[in-house]
Amino acid sequence: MKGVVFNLLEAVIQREYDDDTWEALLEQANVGGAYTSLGSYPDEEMMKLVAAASSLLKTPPDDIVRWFGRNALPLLAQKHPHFFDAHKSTRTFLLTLNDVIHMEVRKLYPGADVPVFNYDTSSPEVLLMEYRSHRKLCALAEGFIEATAAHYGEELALEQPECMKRGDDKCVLRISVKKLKV
Amino acid sequence: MASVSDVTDIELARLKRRLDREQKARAESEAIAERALRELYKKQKEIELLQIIAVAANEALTTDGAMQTALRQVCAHTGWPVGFFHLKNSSGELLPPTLWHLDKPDRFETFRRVSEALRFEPGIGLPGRVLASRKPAWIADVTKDPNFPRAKAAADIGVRAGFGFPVSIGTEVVAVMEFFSEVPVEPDESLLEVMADVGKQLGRVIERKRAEESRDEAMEASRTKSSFLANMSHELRTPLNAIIGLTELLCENAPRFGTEKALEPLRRVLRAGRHLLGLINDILDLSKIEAGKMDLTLETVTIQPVIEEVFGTVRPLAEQNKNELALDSPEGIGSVYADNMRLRQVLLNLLSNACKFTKDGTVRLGVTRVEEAGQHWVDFAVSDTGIGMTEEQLGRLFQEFAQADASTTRQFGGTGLGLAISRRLCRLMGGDVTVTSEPGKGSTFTMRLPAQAAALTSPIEIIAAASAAETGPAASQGSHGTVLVIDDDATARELIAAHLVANGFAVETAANGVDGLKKARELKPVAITLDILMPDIDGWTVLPALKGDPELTDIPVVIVTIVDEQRRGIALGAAGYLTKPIDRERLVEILSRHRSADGPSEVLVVEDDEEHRQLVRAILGAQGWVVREAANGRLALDALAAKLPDILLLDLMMPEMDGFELVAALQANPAWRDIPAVVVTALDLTAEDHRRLNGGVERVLSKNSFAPAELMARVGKLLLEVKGQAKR
Amino acid sequence: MSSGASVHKLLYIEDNEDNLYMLTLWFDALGGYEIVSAPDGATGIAMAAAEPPDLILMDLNLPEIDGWEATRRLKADPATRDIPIIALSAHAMAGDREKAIAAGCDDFETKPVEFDRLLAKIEHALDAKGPGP
Repeated sequence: MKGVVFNLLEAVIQREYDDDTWEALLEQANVGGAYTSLGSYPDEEMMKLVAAASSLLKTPPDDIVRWFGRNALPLLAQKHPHFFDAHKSTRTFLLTLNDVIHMEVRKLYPGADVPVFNYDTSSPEVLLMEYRSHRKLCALAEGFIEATAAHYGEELALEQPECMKRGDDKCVLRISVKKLKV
Repeated sequence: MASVSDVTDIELARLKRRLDREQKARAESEAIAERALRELYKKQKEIELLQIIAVAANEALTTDGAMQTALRQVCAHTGWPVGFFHLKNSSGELLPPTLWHLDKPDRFETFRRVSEALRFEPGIGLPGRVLASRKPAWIADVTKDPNFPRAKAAADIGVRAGFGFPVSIGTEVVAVMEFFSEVPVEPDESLLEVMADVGKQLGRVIERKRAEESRDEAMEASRTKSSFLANMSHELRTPLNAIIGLTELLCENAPRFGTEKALEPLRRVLRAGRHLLGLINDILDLSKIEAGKMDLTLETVTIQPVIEEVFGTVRPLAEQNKNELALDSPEGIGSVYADNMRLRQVLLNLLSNACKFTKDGTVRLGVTRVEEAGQHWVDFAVSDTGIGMTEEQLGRLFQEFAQADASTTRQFGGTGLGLAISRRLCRLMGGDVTVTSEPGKGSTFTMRLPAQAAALTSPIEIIAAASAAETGPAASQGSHGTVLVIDDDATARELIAAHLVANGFAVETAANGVDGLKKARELKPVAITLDILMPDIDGWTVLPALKGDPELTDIPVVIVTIVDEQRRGIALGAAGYLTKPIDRERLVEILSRHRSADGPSEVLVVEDDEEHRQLVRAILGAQGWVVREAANGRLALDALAAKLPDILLLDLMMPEMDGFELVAALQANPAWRDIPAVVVTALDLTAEDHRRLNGGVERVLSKNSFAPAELMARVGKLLLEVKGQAKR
Repeated sequence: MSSGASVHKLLYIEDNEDNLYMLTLWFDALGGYEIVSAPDGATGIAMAAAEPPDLILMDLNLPEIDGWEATRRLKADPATRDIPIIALSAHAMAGDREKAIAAGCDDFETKPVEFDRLLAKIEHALDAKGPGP
């Protein structure tokens, strides 16, 4: 996993909690903590950090991950506004994940193992996103999507009719958004 | 309870840990950055290498040049001091290095000689295994490699690592390059990939060379064929000339020579000779058509005069078999788009066939305009009331040498080639010949030719097409290019310019020859109109100057003149052409057009073949001409300087100064340019020859009676034709 | 030149009028030879059988029955078997001479005919045959 993800986690923890919490996490997870954004580190270290956060903050690991996604996305939007400004809706933004966003990721981080999403756009109201990855980070995806909907000022209904963690062979995210009435 | 100092200690410890982490992270970033930069540099160098080799490959005049540059560049790029180039020969063997690069020649010369002395079978040694596998190969330490015949020499001299790659065209390996370093080096995959690319680039160089060579060979073969045909034509006709000419003479003059008894055998000789000439002409025609060397000059031909001439020629033949000749051609039948000479040839062939195979009957030529499938045609239908043909005979009709059957040749004469040639010619002109027949009742042969140049009906289109074909430096304004109008008469200039501009040309004008030449060189226009007969200005100086300048010679020059009479205009070039063997009657006829009104007419015969000179002297002398002779162009000029004849009869192919040069000299001299010159040649004139003879004058148009549209149409047509001819 | 007393009769089987004319003129000028002719193989065979000549000149390129066939038939017929035949051919290809000899010709000459050479061959063939009947 690329260092940038660890950096994001550190930033979120420091913002929502404090430096001490981050230190405590590092100690609890027994990891080095010297993460440079372009570097590559074992996936286990992230898993250990999530477990440590779960124990420290007394929250289930999936919720930690979802919470992380929800809070990391605004930081990403701040750092790379042009990806977001090109769209006015979560739906169209999500459709660019493979071709635009993850393409940029690969340029910066050659060899980054980003997941490929498959879409079902047959319904204009509901977008189905298929996600397969051995890391099973669908909760992270959920968090990201929730924050994206908030970013575009939309009301989100999000379900996972299928999930790898429940034994299915893939995760399917069922997304429908509606503009919030101002 | 924690004290303040405790808290501070904890904080300090935390900060220190944090600092540690930051420093480690930064060190790692730098390492990543360095790696990335090094990678970038490497890639850049590889791109440069490929670029340099690509440029060398494109610009190299020889393949060796390109390969040598590649050797040098790869050695420079890798830092490896030794590079060899092994070409593969036509038997598939790798030759010893024919090219090499040695950074330290003294040190590595021995290694080179060792390499030179070896033969690398496929699979053996470094070059051998590259040849066999068609892929690059790397040897980290050649002294330790079991398949390296030069291992001992390498160890002695200090050669350690080696890599080789194929130079290939597609999957064919045409050469192998190998490089050696002084130290062992582990394989560098990415370098090998780059080398594979280099190999492909170099392969393209060789491929291009091969293509050029085969194209050159083909062109050479074509040229040889052309000159063979031209020479054969000359060689075959020259002796026949003597045979036919002298025999004719003997027959005509039997009483004078007292050889009446010999008349019968002489007539047979003459007949056989003419038959042979017909055969030779037909075979040469067919050879030219087959070789794709038949030069046709397609133009708008007025039908009426052609028919009259052909009928005139065929009449005696018709009378021989007591046949009646009839013509069905409406008033104002107009013109057809064809090669003038070949049109006559085919008509003559069809009509004489009809006369031959009909007795006491009627041979009719019907000319009609037809529209079919949106195209306009002219049909020439030759029908006879002769013996007709069966289905089977019709099937064999257009084959060479297979006349309806062999007995027909015996009975009716002919070469058996006429129809085959006629059909080929018609097709080359964009038309065809078809036949219907009923045994015992008669046959109808129909030649169909395009009524006008295909797809270009309006003058505007013709001009546009002509200028589109121009690839030379075209002028900036005017979509079709710039035409330079040279004329001293302001009204004429305005008039011509106005019409050209209206048709999309830009126009520049010049009021005199000097200015005209200057502007021509500056503008390099698409075409030039030149008023030849300008009073104060010598148009004849301008024309040769234009044609003599290699930069301007291909620009078509359209002569616009106030002279009305077409024939006089043609006299500005050549007054006519004859081919050898000379048709006596035609010679007499052409010359008699130029007899002077008073006193004996004088002809200057310029001809290097003495026999021929004597023959002509005999023929023309009998007609009352005063005959002067000159054996070559130079002597002819002397003779002209002494006294002007009424007409010139000249052979094109002469030593020292050939006929073309003589005609040019005639036209360049105001005192001589009005003397009509009749050209005699045993050569077939190509379109290029015609042009040269005309002194570069494409056509002569009359200002007095021209209609603007017609002028435009002609100008456009000429541009198109001349462009097409110039390109060939 | 002419061998002396008798006039030799030559049968020339040839369809080309000019060739016939020419050869006739030559022999007329020479003297000692009488030329009769036939325009095709069948006529030639018939004439040879009816009034055997001293020698036959056979054009190989004849209509209907070609010269080869005519030669074979003449050589097969006892009445005409002994008449020497000299073949005349416009083809100049290798093997033509051998082909002619194989068909039964006694000699072979290419066209255009060189008269002196042909004459020598005729005289040789007539001498070989021996004094005629």
